[in-house]
Amino acid sequence: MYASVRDVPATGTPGTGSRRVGGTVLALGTVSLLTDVSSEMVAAVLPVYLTLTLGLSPLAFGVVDGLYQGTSVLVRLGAAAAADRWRRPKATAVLGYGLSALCKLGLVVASGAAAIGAVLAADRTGKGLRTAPRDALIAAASPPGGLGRAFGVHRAMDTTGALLGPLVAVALLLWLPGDYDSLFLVSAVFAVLGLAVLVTFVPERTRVAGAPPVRWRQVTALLADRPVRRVAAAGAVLGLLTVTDGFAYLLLRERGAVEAALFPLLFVGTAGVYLLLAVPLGRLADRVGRVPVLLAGHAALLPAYGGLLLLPDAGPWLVALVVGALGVYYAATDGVLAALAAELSPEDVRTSGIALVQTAVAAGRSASAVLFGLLWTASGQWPALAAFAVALAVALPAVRWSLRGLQRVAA
Amino acid sequence: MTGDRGRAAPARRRLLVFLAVVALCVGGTVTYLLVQRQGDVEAAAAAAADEAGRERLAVADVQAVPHVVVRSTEPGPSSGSVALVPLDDPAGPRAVLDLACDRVAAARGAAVCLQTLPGIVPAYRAVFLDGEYRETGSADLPGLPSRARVSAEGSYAATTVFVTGHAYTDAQFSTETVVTDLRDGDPTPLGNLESWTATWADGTRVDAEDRNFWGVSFVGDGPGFYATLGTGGARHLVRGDADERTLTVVAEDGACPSVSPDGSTVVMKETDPVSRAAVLTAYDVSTGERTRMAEGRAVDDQVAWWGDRVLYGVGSGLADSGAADVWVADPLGGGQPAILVPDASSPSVVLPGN
Repeated sequence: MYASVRDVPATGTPGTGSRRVGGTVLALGTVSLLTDVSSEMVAAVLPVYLTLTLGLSPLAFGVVDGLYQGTSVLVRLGAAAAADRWRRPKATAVLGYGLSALCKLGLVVASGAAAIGAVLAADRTGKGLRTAPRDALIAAASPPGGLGRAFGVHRAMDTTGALLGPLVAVALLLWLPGDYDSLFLVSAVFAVLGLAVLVTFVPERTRVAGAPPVRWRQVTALLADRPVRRVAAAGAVLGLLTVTDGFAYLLLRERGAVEAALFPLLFVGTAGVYLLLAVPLGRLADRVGRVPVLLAGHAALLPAYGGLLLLPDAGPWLVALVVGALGVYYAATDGVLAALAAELSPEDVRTSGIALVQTAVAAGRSASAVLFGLLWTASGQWPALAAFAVALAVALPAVRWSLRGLQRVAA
Repeated sequence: MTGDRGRAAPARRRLLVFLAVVALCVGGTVTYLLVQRQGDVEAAAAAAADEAGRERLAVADVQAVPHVVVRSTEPGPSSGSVALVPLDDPAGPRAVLDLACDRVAAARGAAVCLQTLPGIVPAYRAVFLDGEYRETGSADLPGLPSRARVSAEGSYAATTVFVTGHAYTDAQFSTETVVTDLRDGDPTPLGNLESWTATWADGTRVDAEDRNFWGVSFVGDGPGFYATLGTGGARHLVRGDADERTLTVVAEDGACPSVSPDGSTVVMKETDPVSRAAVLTAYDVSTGERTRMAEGRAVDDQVAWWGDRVLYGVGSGLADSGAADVWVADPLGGGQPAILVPDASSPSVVLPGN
């Protein structure tokens, strides 16, 4: 699978490029797959573990979980800047994956709300550290014309891990009932295996001897870089006007379309569609341009919102519509946006460029959750969803206009 | 990276190190898991042997005398089953039913049992039972069992579960509490408390979207009851009526209430101003006076009354072992709590009718 340690990026292959992605991309996909098995097997059991065996109130867990979003943003930007400054994206990613692996072991020894909270915060920090450097490594190992496909392959492998994780957790707990320590240990081992693949099979980007060092000024200059700024702004606006998954699932439940016990299956369905479409839509983005695919991914949400608004009694059809739309949305946006950020950022500060765009989207989505919650409380769910749907429909052409001309760089 | 021959040797060495790490990790983990599994199997066999040696009482004999109904956590195949323990010898032998529950509540004439049905997607269920523990009906539950109660003569039952979203998306947590009418022998749900009419003490409607209700405790045989309203990070004591389907806030800072048989006192959890921990307190319904109980531990339970004393389960041993004991304390008279029924949780006291 990762036979090619020495991966030579094919440079200057326009358009469709070669039909296969490089060994480095497959290695990074394997790293993400193993790490997602590790983190999702823990995420799947954490609510039960905390409430049933530690006696922590679920509401306290929600607070613990939400508290560290802010620090995660700072860590993400800081780590990306440092990765660029010292030209060490791989070292930064190793640090992030390593920290998360340590945290899984930490769960074995941690008991009590404060300790668990600290471990989960460190785990999030690790995720913040690694995401942008990893995407920069994917970009560096792929031909410019094949970025969409490379990110598609990576995201498909990543999602496979996210789907396998809960299955591993359930199987393990059936075999060793109540043995959460063994589960955390197995999770840590998956994380260590991912780390080992990263260390062994992903090369650090080597620089031509005598190349001038990257200056902090170049990193901060990104904020003034027009293409990057435009993509970040577009990502933030689109993120803000997108109803988060949690709320979309909740709206399905409010309509009686799905029982709460089957809630996890909504996530499985969304991830399944994402998994199937990540590569085809990534390739489509390589062929027709990233921006149209990105916008089409958001447009795919509109029928789902319409269905939730106008067909509240459609039952399973509504579930299929919403889950399918969310899957298409992720497949058309997550990897595609990373590819867009990677190709628009100056090469020396690519990690920071990717981090900036991803942070903007994350900030938009966080604000979206708060805004939607406020609107829901103030005026009820129907007006809240209608407002989001109309705003997204209006924003899409505006964003299309604001991103005009970017294709020149992509082609 | 360029593939010159000078790098080939280090690359091979790194590959060997990688393979060694993989072999060590996988081999070590598989060995460890097999040892754990072997330990589980041996422990289960030992517990089964232990249980075979224990004296058991006949269910009918215990039902004839004042007794406490618990979820037995004695190690062995029956762990997790409902047990009946005579109150005159609570640490002695018990009667065990073939009925596994996460939570159980019983009264004269009825009982309710909240169960987990294991599976890839675990399912949860409430089973309603008559005074002889025969099933009269059941209801699917949308999440993890949390609290269960029946009214004094078995006319009403209440169940609370945690409704959990998937942690991957947003940590969506809420509770769902349903009151069920058991009066005509055919359990009839009266609906989720969130759909009832709730008002603040000043008469204005409670319409916050984040409102959650949990921990019902019936006054006598109902339809009056106390429960908890959680909204905006605060927990309020509410008084409800199951027939009117109304709820009214009666006191601030009170969670998981349990009202005494005479209706005069509610033992509930209040927030310690310094530690922010939830501590048990006795609330006088007529004066509003509060008496903090001499219980320093975090009690994840809704207490049950036994005369003027209260019982509650507290976890024992390792945090995730599931072991627990039922403790007894005097909420107004002070004094230290003591173990009443070892290896048990989820208590309710049943005094047989005359």
